[in-house]
Amino acid sequence: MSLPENPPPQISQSSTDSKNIPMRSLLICANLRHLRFALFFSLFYSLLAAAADIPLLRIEGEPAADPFSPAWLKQAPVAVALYPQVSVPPAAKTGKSSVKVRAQRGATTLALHLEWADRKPAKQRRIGAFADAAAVQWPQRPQAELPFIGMGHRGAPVTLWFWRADGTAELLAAEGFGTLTKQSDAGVLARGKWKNGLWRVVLSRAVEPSPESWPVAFALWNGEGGERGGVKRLSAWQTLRFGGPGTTGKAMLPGNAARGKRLMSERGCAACHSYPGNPTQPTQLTIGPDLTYAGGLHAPAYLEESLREPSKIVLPCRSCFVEQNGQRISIMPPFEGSEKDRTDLLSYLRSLR
Amino acid sequence: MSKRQLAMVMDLNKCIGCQTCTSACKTQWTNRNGRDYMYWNNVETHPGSGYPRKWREFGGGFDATGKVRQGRIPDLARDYGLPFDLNYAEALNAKGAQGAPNDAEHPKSASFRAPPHLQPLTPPTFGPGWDEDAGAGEYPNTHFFYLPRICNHCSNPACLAACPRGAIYKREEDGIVLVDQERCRGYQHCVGACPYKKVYFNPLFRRAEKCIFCYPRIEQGLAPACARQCAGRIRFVSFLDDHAGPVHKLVTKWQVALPLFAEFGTQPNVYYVPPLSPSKLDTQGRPTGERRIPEAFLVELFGPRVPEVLKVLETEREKKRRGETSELMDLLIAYKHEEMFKLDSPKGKA
Repeated sequence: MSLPENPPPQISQSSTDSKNIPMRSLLICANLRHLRFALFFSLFYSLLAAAADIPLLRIEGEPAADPFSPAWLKQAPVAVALYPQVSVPPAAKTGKSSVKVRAQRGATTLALHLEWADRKPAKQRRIGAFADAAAVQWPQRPQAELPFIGMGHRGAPVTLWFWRADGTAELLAAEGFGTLTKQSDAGVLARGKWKNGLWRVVLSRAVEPSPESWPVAFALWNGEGGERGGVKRLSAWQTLRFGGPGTTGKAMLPGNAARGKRLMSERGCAACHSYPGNPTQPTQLTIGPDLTYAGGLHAPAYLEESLREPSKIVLPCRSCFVEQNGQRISIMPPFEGSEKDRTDLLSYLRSLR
Repeated sequence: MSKRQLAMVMDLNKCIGCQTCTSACKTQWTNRNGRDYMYWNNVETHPGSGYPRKWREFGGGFDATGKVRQGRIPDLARDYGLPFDLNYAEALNAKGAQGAPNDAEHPKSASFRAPPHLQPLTPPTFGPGWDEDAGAGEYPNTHFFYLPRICNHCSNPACLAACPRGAIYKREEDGIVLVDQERCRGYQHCVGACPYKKVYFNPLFRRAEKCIFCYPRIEQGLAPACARQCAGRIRFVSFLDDHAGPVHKLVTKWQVALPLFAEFGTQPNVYYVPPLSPSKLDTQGRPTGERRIPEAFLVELFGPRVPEVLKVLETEREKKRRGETSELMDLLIAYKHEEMFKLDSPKGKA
């Protein structure tokens, strides 16, 4: 059932073009097929980012739909760190947390099992009330770089499996903040159950025969805490891999992080970005994205790229860019300086987690 | 900012609080499908809590640096008020409820029990118009006035600024602010950010909804239902830049129409002619010459130009009384209802 073409995702960025796009579904089938091409890069990132490897268990039949099934619980989970979304407003106000992840590959479906602590379930959406939710994010196209962790970026779309505690599940696609667009109500099977302070959720979808590994990221929303949309906690890109952990553990961080922190002030970064211990901490009018969790959320290659080419991916922050011919040009100058300064700055940024 | 802006002026001196506008809006747009609790148009009494309850205290709008403020989302039961469900079955179909209970014809017997009155099933604790006509002050100097409110279709809408999805847009051709129902995912940031609390969350469709300035009527050349149905003829509708239109005359030429809570920073496009009021009376019942509605209160709502505007209104009213001509008074009297609306202009056609 392979599709001849990789269909473009249906993503609408403005109110005008949203009207004319026909509904399409079944995207991920085609897209995951191409992810093997991204394998090399995801491996490269995971090595450097020290992100957790999530073992993917190949099973006979199909993964259990019941999140409390022993078929799931006997499998050892991997804890994935979650960081509050603080890059663009409105930001999450919580601290760090984590989600335990299990993954199984059946004959036709791929399933992810998420487990996290929540003292009180929020199952309904009402006026001023929000439901707990969870999402799994996949890169959508084979390319030489991962999409930006926060909803992808232009030219690098992501597919999302979304579960909400009111019983709804959606297949979504996005190409940057604010572009999230529903592809289909069908296609993603999701079931969640709350018991004794724990949410356990299984999200699954029929996919093509799997490559050996692919990048995946997670996000959680705590409804009673007012979390919805961008007010969420998210992980860095992780690697889902057959056959168990390949490269867990922290990679060596080259460079002098302490000196890097001093350089943040000396090179002027501190004027626009907030980060722990920033002497000028521009809280009132933060111009650039908040860097408090930069190392936890972003692959080193992305951080390196942001220094080298700030206009490559520009977030919709207030007064941090000018628009030229429909392109966002960041007001941050590209990094210029010695290799040692660059390494130390990157070392400091990677330590922010 | 849109290319052109359609705006409304409401003359508070003429509002009689009849709620015909409210009914027109409700029957047209919000009488079902999760909208029962919403009043895109409401008329509240001031001084008073307004609708939703104490909406001024919910925050929103913009701070001094131009950053949008989140604000709080009102609670359905406490702040909006639950829509009433009446005990129809009990009151109208109960045994003994047939015909009018008349003591002479149906003398009370042991078996007769009067049916219950028609009343809400759940005792209401709040609703629109909850404190209607309560006002403030001590007799004989009690005072109040009516304040009809719709979405202000702001030039700098806080709802639009707060939406991370760009689901709210402002139409280029007339500045009407609308929620794109296909883009909205029901995050409700707009509900909190609107300082006037005029964006509502539809709990059935799980999307934000608001006053649409009756744009389907506007596109047919008709005034919004609230304005067309207004019994007191208080509402003027025309483009701000249309010099021949009544809004331009009242806002720019005569400068007697003022925005509500301009300090929220959203640049609202509904303007109000502030209300004059009769003189206060002293203990002997003699007029003191001081207006009954405290000027400071009106300044709080409509800004520092209130005293100046009230003087202009009094001066022009006096002229009219003396039999002289007054363009302003003729405009405000609105001899012909249709002259209160001017929806197209030579400029618009060009």
